Amino acid sequence: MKSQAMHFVPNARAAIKDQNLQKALGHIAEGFVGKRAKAVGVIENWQAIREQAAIVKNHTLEHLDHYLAQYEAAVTARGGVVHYADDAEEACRIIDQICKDVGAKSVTKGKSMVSEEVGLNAHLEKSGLDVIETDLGEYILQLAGEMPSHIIAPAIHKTKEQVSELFAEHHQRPKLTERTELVTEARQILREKFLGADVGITGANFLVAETGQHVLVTNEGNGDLTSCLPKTQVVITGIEKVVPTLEDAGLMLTLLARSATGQAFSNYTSFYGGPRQADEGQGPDAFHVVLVDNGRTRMLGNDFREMLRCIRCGACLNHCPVYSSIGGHAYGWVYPGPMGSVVTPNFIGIDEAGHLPNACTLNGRCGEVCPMSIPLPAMLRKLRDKQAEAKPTPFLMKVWGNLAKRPKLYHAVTKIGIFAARMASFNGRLKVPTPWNNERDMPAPEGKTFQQIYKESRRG
Amino acid sequence: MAKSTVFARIQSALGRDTVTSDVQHPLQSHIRIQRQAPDQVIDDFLAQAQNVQMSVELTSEAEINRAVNAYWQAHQLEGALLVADHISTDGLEMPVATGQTDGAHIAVVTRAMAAIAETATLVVNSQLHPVPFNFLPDHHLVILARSQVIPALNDLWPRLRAEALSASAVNLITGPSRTGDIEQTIEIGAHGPRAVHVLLIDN
Repeated sequence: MKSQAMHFVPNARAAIKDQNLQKALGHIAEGFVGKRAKAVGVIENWQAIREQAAIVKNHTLEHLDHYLAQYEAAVTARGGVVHYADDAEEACRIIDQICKDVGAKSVTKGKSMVSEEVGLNAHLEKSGLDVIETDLGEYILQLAGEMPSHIIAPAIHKTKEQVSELFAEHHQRPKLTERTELVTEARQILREKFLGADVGITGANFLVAETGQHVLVTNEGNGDLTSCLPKTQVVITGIEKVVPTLEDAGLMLTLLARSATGQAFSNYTSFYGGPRQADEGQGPDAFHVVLVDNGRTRMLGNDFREMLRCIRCGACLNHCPVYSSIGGHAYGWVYPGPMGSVVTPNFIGIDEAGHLPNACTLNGRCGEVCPMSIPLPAMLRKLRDKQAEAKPTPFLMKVWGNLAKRPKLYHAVTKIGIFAARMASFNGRLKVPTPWNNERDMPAPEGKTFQQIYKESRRG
Repeated sequence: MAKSTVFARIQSALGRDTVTSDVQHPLQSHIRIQRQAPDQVIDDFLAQAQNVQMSVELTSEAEINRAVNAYWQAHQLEGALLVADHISTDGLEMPVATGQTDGAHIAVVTRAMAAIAETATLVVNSQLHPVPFNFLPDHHLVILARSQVIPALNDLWPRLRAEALSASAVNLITGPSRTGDIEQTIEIGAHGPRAVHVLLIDN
C-alpha cells in the first residue's frame, strides 16, 4: 500500500476542517469509549487478565519459530497448506497463484488489515479477478474508493447520508434514508456475491498452534460466509498472530471484544482449520494460510518487539485525542492512531512516517486502555528520540542546553526574556507571529517566577 | 524459499540459530473472569441472552417440534424449513429440507454442542451440521439441553479437545448477526441470521 504519511500535516489540517468527518468522529465518545468502559468495568480482575495475556504473548514471541512450526504441522495434518511471505509483494503473488490454480473469477473478502497492508485487492484486480469486500464498512469504502480509517470500524468517517448517496449511485436503485434499509440492501447485494464466489479470503485474529485453527471474530457473519461457501478458503495474516493453546486464545478473546466494541463477546467467534473433512456435508475443498512477515521480524529484533503483542482491538485509536480530532486517513497509511504511529515507522521507515510519533500529546490514555499492556507512550517517545538522534541539534537548542547547565546565567537570561515577552504582549497575550501562535494565543508571563516566590516564602 | 528466510530472520532477531527444543508454557493455569453473576448458571445464561437480543424458550424434548411449528406460525414464515441431521422431523407442519443449503431456506433447526453462560454463547461445529446452516437462513432455531450450559469460556476448551478437534469449523454464536458500521449504531441482521431462538430443554 502506497503511503501518504509524509503529508500528515496538511492532511491533518484538512481533516479538522472537514465537517462531515467531524460529525462522524463525534460518535466515537458515545459509542466505543462509553461501551468499553462499561464492559471492562464489570470484570473485577481485568488487570490480572491483562497481565496473563502479556505473559503469554511475550513467551510466544520469544519462541515464535517453535509455535509457527507447531501451527504449520497441525494445519498440514488437517489437510491445509501453510505459505510464508517475506513481504507484501510475495504475499500478493502467492494468493494470486492460488486463485489462478483454481481458475477463479470472483473473490469475496472478509475484513483483513494485513490484506490492506500488502495491497492485495489492487493486485488481484490487476489479474482480472472480481474482488468484493463483504464487511459492511469495507464494502462502503470499496464503493467510495477509499482506505479504512479505523482498524475495526473502517467506515467510521462516513455519515449515513454519504452511505446513502454511495449506495444509490452504485446500486442504481432509489436513494434510501433509513439505516435499516441501507443494511438490508447491502445484505441482498452481497448475498449473491457470497454464493457466487470461487475463493474466499479472510484475515485471522489468532492462530492456535496446538490445534492448527485460526480464530475469526466478526459481528456481521461476513467472515464466516466468506470462509464456508467458496470452494477455496484462503487466510492471510501476520506471523505474530500465533498463540500456543486454546486457553491462550480464550484469554485474548476475553480482552478483545470488551476493548474493541465494548461487547462481552463478539457475535461470531469461529475456529477454522483445514478444508471440509470427509464426514462433513458442506465446506471448502482447499484451505490455504499465508503468513506474512513484511517487517514483523525486524520489530521482533528491535526496541519495538512488544508492539507485536497487539491484537488490533482499536481501543488506543478510540481513546486518542489526536485520532478523535483528525480520523484515520490523515495518518496516511494502513494503521492509524497510536498503534499505527508505532507500527508505520517500523514497517515503512521513520523517514517516511516521521510525523506520526509526533502526532501525540503524551497523555498516556492509549497505554492505559491497551488490553495487551503495550507501552505505547514510551514507544512513541522512543521513536521521537530516534528522529532527534538522526538530526543535528538545532543551534538555539544548543544555546538553551548550555544555558540550562549554568543556573545563575540561566536566571539572568530568563529575567531579560520575561521582560522582553511582557513588552511584546498585548492584553496579556503574546502576539509574536510564529506558526505555533497561528493556531492559539500564547499567554504573556504573569507576575513572579516560581523561583522568586519560593525564595520569598523561605525568607518569610 | 520464504519459509527458511522468515525462520532465519526470526532466529536472528531472537539471537539464536535453532528452535529451542524444550519450550514450557509460562502459565500454571489460566485465570477465570470474576464478575457479579447469578448463582445459577442457567439464570446467568438467560440474563446474558437478553443482552444480545437472543430469545430463549423453555420446552422439553417431546415438545420441540410443537415449539418449532408455533415459531413458524408466529413469524409467518414461508418456504421450507432446513433441519440438521439427527433431528426428528415428526410432527413438523411445514415443508422440510435436509442435507445442504444454498440460501433458499428461511429458517433452520440445529442442535448445539454446548453453550457458555457468562456471554450467552452457543457452540456448534461442522460435524453436527454444515457451517452455512448457521449463517444463511434468516431464523436460527437452536436446540440446547440445560446440562449443556457451561459457566464460562474457560470451560469450553477441554470440551473442544474431546468432542470437536477434528471438525474443520467450530462456531461460537452470540445472538443474531449485527453491524455498527453506519454511524456506530447497531443494526440487527447484517449478513447472518436476523433472529436466533434457543429451545432450552430439560433433561
